[in-house]
Amino acid sequence: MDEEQAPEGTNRMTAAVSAGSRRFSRSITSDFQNPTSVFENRGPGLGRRSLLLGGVAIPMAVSRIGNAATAARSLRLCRLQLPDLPDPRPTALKRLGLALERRTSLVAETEPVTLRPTDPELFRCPLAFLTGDRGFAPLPEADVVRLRRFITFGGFLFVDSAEGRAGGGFDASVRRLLASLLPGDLPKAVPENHVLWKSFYLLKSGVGRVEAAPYVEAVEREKRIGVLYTQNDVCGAMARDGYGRWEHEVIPGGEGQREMAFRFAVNAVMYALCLDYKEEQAHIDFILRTRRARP
Amino acid sequence: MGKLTFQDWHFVLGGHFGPTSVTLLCTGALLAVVLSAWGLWTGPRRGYRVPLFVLRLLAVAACLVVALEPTLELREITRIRNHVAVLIDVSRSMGVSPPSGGDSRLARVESLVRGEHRRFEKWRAQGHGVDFYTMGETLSPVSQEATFRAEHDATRIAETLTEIKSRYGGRDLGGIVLLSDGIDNGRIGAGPLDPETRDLIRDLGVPVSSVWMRETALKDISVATVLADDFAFVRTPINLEAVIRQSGLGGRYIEVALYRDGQFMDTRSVKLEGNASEVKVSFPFTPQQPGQSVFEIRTPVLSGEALSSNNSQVFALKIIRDRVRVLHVTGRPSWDVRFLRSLMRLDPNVDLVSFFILRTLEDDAPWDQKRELSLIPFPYQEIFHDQLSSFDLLVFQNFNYGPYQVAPYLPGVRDYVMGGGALVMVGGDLSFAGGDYGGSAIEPILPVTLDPQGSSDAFSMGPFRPKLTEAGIGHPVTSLLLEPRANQKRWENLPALDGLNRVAGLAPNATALMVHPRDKASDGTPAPVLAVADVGRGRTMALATDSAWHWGFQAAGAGDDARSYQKFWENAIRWLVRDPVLSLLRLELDKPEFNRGELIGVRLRSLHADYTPAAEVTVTLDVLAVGGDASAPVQTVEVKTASDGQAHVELKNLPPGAYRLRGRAAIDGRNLEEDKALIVRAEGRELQEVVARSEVLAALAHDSGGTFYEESFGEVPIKPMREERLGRREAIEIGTHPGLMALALLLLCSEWYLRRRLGYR
Repeated sequence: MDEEQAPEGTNRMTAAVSAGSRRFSRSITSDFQNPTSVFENRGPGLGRRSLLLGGVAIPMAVSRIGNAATAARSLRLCRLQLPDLPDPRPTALKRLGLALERRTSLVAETEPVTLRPTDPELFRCPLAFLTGDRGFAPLPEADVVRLRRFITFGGFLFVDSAEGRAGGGFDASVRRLLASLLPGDLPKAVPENHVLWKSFYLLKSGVGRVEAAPYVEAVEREKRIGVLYTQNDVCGAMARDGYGRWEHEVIPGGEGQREMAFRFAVNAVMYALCLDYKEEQAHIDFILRTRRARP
Repeated sequence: MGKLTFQDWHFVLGGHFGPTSVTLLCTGALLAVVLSAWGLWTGPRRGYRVPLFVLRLLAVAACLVVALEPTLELREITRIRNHVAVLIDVSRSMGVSPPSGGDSRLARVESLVRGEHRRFEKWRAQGHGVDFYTMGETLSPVSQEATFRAEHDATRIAETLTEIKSRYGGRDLGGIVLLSDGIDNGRIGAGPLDPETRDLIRDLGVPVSSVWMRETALKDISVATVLADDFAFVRTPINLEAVIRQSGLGGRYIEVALYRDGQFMDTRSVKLEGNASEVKVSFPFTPQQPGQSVFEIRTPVLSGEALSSNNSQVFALKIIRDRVRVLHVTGRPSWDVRFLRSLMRLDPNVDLVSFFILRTLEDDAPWDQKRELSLIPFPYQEIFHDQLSSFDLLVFQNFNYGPYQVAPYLPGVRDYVMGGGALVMVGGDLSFAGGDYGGSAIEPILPVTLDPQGSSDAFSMGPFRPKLTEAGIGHPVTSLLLEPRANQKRWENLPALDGLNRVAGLAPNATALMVHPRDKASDGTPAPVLAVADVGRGRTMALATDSAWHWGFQAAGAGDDARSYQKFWENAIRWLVRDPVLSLLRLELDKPEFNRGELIGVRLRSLHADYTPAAEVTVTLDVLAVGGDASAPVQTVEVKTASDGQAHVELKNLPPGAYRLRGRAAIDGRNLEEDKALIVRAEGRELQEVVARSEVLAALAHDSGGTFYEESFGEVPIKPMREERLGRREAIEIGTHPGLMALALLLLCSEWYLRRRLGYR
């Protein structure tokens, strides 16, 4: 599925938080049966289905109108710029911002910000992306200290290798950087039961433009991921030129794999913003039920 | 002591031989006898063998006696007089009379003691001492002729036996006779006997005979037992249970009622079965606020009841908060949401339940949403209706209620806060006026007033550094540091915020703690950034920005330790849920229940806003009767705190009942109030039950080897008196008697003469 050509046939009538739940539909229906409901007495001629649609959509419309002139807080996606490391996927974060905007409740800025480790603005942007397709020189100590502080106090660094293979020059540089940033905390493969795989979409792996590594690695600090590292070129799968054409072919899974790469990126952003929210007991039963139903 | 006689004697062998010598002598004598017998049996004169052998045997025996010098010792025996302890139960339940009239149980005991006068004399004549005691809360010696009064507030049989054991530690005890109605409210209770009491009976080693003063036709209902812990947790359901005991009133339905602090709470209808029965009544209850309350479980008083004072029981319940249960609802993930969640999930004192809106109707959906998304339907009914009361704090963070069917539940949210809950609204473009809360059911409980719905500038961007107000400098929520000036400076050095929810003004009952340095609210006053309010029994807070996380993460980027953000929210949560730790006036009691006449010590502590001791503070302590007029204290005491901020008050002569202590003081210009519950018991638990019970008395008699009687007693088993052999003694030396020596010589000579005459050598 393409986030810019999303199918319009999706049934939105029963959607609120995660649309389509029978439970949710029942709840709304029972509200209509309640004589004190705010939706009663809307006049004859409106069927239950129409009322349902109105019951959800009308307040939404009012709310949106009310907020129309209100500035919304947007999520800024930041690219971390290191010396001698050009961004091989400069259009990817814009596409990710659009995907977040269209798929989730987030309001995201579509023009990413590029920041250096020493930039004062870095601490206004707790989610930073580091993408590269080649090795890079060790960072000055001041940069290392600042990045360490960034991760320790709550920042989230998404590292994506665009080399198209595992264990290249960028990989070596990243591991050297992480060893100096977080001594003693080596990146470990994210286990399959980690909340990252269910922070928005239900996923089993983190693919990108390629499947160079069957795993995604992470460094955890205080029960949260501080650094997420993939060698599958997730940004490569999201990159699109100004004419709307995909910049890179996705192999071996084609467009289905591209969609999975977008979903992985969305999950990573949602995890950065919500942490282990999806591990709260209220969610677990629902997710387990859904997973059991998967083929 | 008894009469002295020589009742005991025994032999003692001569002191100059040791055991070895005695053995050798006896062996030698035996050998001589055997050899002699052998010689005679092999000799010629068979007819004289036996006389000769007898002579030799006697001669050897006489010689042996002379050699061993035996002594006969005669001794006097002394019999130690033991005692029979007669224990008379003088607890209040012994004052109960039969429903048909007639003597009370204790009066019947008196008659019984008088009637058994001869038996006691007989015991004395047999050498036993007979000691009389009254037993209740304490054991007291009395004379046999005393008049008894049922005025003790407890019956503690096991504890009384323990005291008897210590009283007779150096003297002999022959037996115990216990006259009681068997209603124990000490360690044994309704029985069976506990292991400690069984050990006590074994250690006593005497028969305990019991005389049960029964009452078969008594009519009574009592709240016999209340089954409730001393404490409960806020918002955690508990069961307050009581055992209702009845006698003679079977077949009726009664209403059992529960009261809290004098206010009716609940009722249960129960049927009384049979002639005597117990029924358990349960009142499910979910405490909503920490503190201490006095509960009462009460039954009606029916006609003909023996006692009415046991138809209710009061008890104190301390309600504490184990963890602050927070419901965190947000309209959209953001960094402000993330950092607050991160803080709360790592706080061991917070039990966090979150609901984030991750998708809206306007967002694209995958083909198979159920299988491809991990999202759950927003359970608005469960959280805002079914479960809301289970939370201590509700956080609306950038949450617009409109699209999510929450509007019908907003009155419930208002009632939840008014009833003691807490609400904090955190800003963002979906919050306050931006979330259409203006004119909503919860606007009246917010610390800020809002412009009408749909106002165009509900949320504005732009950096600003908020200013602490006068109230904010020392308020618990904004106290990052104890010292006010240092605290103010700390706030000034924190990173600027970005984004402000515009409001109409401050609510009339609210306090602004932080305001915008330049912007004004619609009413022209400085735009509130942080405001708090007490609403009903609850509290609310408004934080009109979504950038408070700058105080943590951004501050860390500037080299700060980022603790200000954490401290601010910790303070806010504590203040919102009324954490007792933040109370600046504290009352402390050693225990919640006191007996009538007992001195009640109350410690008072006064603290400044920075929690340093507040000296010379005048505290007014009112003692209010629970369920009575709050404006008419039973007692009022005024006391001034010392240099350590503490004072001690002793309350005397409070009549039995349930009370609330209310302390009032003005510290640093703030009027503070704190209260505590206490109970003064009239009779302990003595009259909670008046129907006589035989089980404990029968078990005591059975286990100790005593006898169980009803309303009378006969020949109770008494342990025999102990004998002592320590009196005068005489020694008669047999071995040195001249006659014995002559007899030995005569026997030897006779044997020699006869042997010669018969031709032996």
